[in-house]
Amino acid sequence: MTTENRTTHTVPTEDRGWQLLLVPVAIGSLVAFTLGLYGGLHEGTGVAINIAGFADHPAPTGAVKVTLATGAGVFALVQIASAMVMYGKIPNVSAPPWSGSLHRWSGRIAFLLAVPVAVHCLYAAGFKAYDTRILLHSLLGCLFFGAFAAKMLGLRREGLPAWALPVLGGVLFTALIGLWWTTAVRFFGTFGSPLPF
Amino acid sequence: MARNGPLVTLAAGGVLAGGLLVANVINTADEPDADQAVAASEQADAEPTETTEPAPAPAETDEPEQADAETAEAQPANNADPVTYVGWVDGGGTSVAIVINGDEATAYVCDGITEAWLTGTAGAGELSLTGDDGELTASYNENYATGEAVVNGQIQRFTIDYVAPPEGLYQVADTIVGGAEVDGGWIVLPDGRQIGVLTVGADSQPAPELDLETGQVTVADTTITADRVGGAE
Repeated sequence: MTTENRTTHTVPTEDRGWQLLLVPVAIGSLVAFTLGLYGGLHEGTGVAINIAGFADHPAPTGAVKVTLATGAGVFALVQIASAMVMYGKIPNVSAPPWSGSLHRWSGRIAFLLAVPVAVHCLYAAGFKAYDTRILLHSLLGCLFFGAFAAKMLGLRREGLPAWALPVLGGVLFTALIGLWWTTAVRFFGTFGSPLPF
Repeated sequence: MARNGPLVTLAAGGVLAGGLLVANVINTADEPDADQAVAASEQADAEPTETTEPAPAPAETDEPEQADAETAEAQPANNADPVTYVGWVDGGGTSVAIVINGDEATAYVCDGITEAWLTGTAGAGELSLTGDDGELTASYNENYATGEAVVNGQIQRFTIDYVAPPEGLYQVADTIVGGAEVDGGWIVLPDGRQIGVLTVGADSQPAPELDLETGQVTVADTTITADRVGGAE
């Protein structure tokens, strides 16, 4: 159906482009829902494997998670900066040829840094709603990975509306910073730097 | 080909997450986990105690003893007044609080994720405590307590300092609107850090920060009040 439309040009691309997002967004929603469901049904074990290192820190697991999450946040800033350059949003800066690679690889690194943190959250704690901060954190965690799946799947589609990737990317950035804000900031307040020095 | 990049990224994340999850499951299955294995192997001779009930707070804050509380600071070895020691285990990661009230003592061992309440007897500078998740032995004087805790299969040595309020050990056991049971413990350290776990129904979480002025904490939009074990003054 979609292919037919595209080849016959009966409908302008701008008008039907959003339909290309339906499947990616549906799958993304499914991912988010599945994470929330698993987090809600799985009884939090309270413990999980220590990811690595930081043995001397008073809260070693938290320190590892906060460090990974902060790393993901830094790469997320690179994401925003590189995207703004690529979209010509920064005056007098034209996108260098490597800006696409920078954007892709900073995104991959940010995502892969966030995965172990999320696995630990899901396994040791689960989806919780005992106060607003934790509810927000749980919701944003599900949203982040759902939106990430939707964006990755959307990227493979030709003819997306111009707003699609910026909106998905904006959701990802907002969710990631929200996740960091609802936990890591509290950790800094309690323990100071997560790094052992 | 480039179009498959995002799929590869997704797959890499999925593989990483799956691998970590499997490692978690295997790891937690191998380790003698808190509730059953350790309790069975190391505590066959321990006194049977309630599984879910934390140790009761030994003293009400408004008991007549309160008048003498200030002298307790100078003479913590005096059995008449509860004394509290808090601090980290050697190497950090887990905090310990011990409250001695006469010839009874309560200890709380917590790393912010897991917790153990231990109770037992104290006298002549020695104490020996047990609970469902472990045991603790220590010697103490007016300045510090030093000893060893075995909790969830881990042996941890500690030397912790005598403290005065508001530092110390706080506890709450309450039922909030909706019928959820709330159990919580907090160790308030001399630098103001709070390490604790709050259990609402079946869910245990790092405890939200306690207001030390009022002892209040908000759980699921309900304000509950924690008591300082051994009295507030």
